[in-house]
Amino acid sequence: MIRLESVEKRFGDRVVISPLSLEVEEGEFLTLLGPSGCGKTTLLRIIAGFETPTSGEVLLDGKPITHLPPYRRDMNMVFQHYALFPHMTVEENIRFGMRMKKLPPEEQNRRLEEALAYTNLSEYRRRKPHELSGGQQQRVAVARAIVNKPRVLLLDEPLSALDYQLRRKLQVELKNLQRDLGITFVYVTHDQEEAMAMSDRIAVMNRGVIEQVGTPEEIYLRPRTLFVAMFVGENNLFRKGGTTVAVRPENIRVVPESVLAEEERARRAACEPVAVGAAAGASAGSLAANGGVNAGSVTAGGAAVGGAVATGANGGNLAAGDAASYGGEPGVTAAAAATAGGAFGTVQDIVFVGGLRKTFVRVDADEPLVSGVLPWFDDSESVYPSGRDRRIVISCDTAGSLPPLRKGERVAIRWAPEHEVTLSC
Amino acid sequence: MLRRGGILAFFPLAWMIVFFVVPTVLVVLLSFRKRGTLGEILPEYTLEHYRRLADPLYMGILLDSLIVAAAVTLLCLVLGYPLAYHISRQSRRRQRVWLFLVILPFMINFLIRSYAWVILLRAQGVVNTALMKLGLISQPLPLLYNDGAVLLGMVYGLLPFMVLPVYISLERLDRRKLEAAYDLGATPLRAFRHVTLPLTMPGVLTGATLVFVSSAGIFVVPEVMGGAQSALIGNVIQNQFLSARNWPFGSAMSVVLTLASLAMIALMYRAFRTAGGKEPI
Repeated sequence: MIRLESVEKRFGDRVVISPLSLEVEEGEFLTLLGPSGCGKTTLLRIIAGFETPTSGEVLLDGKPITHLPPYRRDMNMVFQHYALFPHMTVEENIRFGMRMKKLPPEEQNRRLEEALAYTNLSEYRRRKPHELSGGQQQRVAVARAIVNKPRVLLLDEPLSALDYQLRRKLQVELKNLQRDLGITFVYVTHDQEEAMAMSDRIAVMNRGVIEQVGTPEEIYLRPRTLFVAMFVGENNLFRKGGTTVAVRPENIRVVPESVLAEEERARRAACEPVAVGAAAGASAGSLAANGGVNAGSVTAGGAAVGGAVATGANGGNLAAGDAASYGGEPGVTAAAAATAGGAFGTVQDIVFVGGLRKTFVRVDADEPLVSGVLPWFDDSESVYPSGRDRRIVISCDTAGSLPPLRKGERVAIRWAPEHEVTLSC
Repeated sequence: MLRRGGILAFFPLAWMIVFFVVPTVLVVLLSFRKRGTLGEILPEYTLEHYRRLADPLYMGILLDSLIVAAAVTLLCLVLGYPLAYHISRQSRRRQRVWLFLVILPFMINFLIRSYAWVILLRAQGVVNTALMKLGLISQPLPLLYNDGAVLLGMVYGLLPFMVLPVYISLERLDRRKLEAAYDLGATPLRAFRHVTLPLTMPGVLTGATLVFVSSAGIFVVPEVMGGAQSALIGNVIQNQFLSARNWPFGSAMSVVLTLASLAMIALMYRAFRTAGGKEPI
C-alpha cells in the first residue's frame, strides 16, 4: 500500500538515504531496524511528509504523495518523545486531530471515549501531559494518533524513553493494538529484540541502505550481509576460503579436551569395524569425510547434533575440502567433513543468562579462522559488548545440558556445516 | 531563601534591597509628606497629594498614558512577533546577525535616537525634504509633535523588549510539537493558532509586561517628539521632581502610576489564564 521508489535523501552533500525502494503491505507490521544514524528515522519522516526526498517517489495506494504536506496524508505518527501538547489536557490532545478535521461533535465524543477506554486513560482525561508517567504519556500519544483512524500508523522509537519492564509490556500492547485495528504499522527502532518480537517483516538498515528485508525468522536464520548477521542477535564470524561465514552462538559447541579424548576412545571402539572395513590406512592419519560424520553421530551421546569431531590416531593432520586443518594437539585433531569447522582455544568467561550458558572462548592465536569485529561496530553499544575482540567466540547452550566448563580450560569449538551462513559484505 | 547558592544569591538580593526596595519605600513614604512653600519636605503626614490627583486633569493624563502604553504594547506585539518568528526560523549564524541588529540601537543613547527621529521627521527634515523634492507633496507633512509621532517613537524604542522574549520562547518551542500538529491534520495557520501561539504566550506576556511598564512611565519621547498637548504622566512626574519641586506630589503620582500598571498587568495575566495558557514564571 505504501511504495517507496528509488527514494533518496541528501542534506547538502551528505547522503542520508541512498536510493532505495520498499513496499509496505496492507495491514502488516513493518519495522525499520538499524543503529542510530542509519537513516531509518529520515525514511519514516519522508513517509510522514516531514521531509521531501531529494529524488524518488512515495506512493500510497498507487498514488504519488511525495509532495503532499503531512496534514493531507492519511497517516498519523507516534513521535519519539510523544510531542504531546503541554498546554492541553489528555482529552484535548486526543481530540486535536478530529477538531482539525472538523468531525461532527457527536462523532468526536464517541471516538474519544473509545480511545480513552482502549488505552485505559479515562481517569486521566483532565490531566495535563506533565502530570502523567512516561507510560501514560506514551498511551496518550498512541490514542491521539489512532483516534483519527489512519490508514497507516508511523511509530518513531515510541518505547525508547521507557524502562525495560514497561517496554516489554507495551510491546505486547502495541502488537495487540495493531492486530485489533488492522492498521498498517511502520515502526522505527534500534532495538533488535523489539523488532524481532513485534514485526511481521523487518527492514534492516545501515548507512542509508536497506541491507535486508524479511521476516524475523529469515533475518535471524539467514542474514544475507555481514551487517545483518552482526546487528541482529549475537553471532560469530569466521573467515573461510575468502568468504565470511557466521555461526550463531547456539550452534557452537564447546567441548573440553578431556571429553574430546573420551569421545575419541568411544568413537574408535564404535567405528573400528567401520574403519577396518573402510580403510586400513586409518591409523596412518587419513579419514574419509563420511567416516568423520559417522563418528560424530555415533559418539554424540546427548551432545549437540553434528559436531563433526574426528581424531587421527597418530595426531596427523586431517583435512577435508575447504575446511581448515588443525594440528599440533597430540591426539586431538579436528577434521571437518565437507564444510564443517572448528578451532581450539581457552575458556575466557562463562556467563549464565536465564537458563542459558554463554561461554566466551579465546581462540588460539594460530587459528586461521578469525572471529571478526568490523571497525564500524566497535563503538556501537547495541551491537557489541565493549571490549569484545575478534578472537573471542561466543557459544550459547542450555545450562546444564553439556559438560561443565571452567575458566581457563582448554577446549575445542565445533559447529556443523548446516549452521554456517555465508555472508556478503 | 538563601539555602541553595546562598552566596550567589546574596549580592543580587542585597542590590535589589538597597537600590529597589529602599527607594520604593521612600517614594511611598514621601507621597504622604507635607510640602513646604519653598518645596521643602515637612515632617507631617497628609493625604492632600492623593486628593489633588483625583482631579479630572490628572486622571485624564493618567488614563491617556495607560491607553498610549496599551497601544504601544499592542503595536510592538503586532510588529515584534512576526519579526521574532522570522528570526527564529533562520540558521544559527543568521539568527546571531539578526539579534545583533535588534540590539544594536541600544548602543546609542535613547535621547540621541529620539532627536534622530526629529531630524528625520520635522518640517525641514529628511523625509519631508525628500518627498517635496520628489514632488509628491507641496507642503511639509506634520510628521512630528503629535500623538502619532509619540507612538512611533515609543514603538521604535521599545520593540526590542518585545522581540527578545518572544524570540526566546519561539526558540525553545519544540519543533516536534508543531510537526505533531501538522501530522494531526492542522494546516500551518491552524497549527500556529493552536500550538505555536499558546506555547509562546509566556514570551508574549513577558514582552508585553516590559513594553507596557516602560511606555507607561516614559517621558523622553513625549518631551522630544510630542506636541504641546501630548504630555503624559511620565512628563508630569518628571516636571514635579525637576521643575515644580513638588517631590511629594510627584511621588504620589508615581505610586498611582505603579499601582495602575500593576493592575493592568494583573488583568492581562488573568485574561491569559482563563484562556488556558501557562504562566510565564
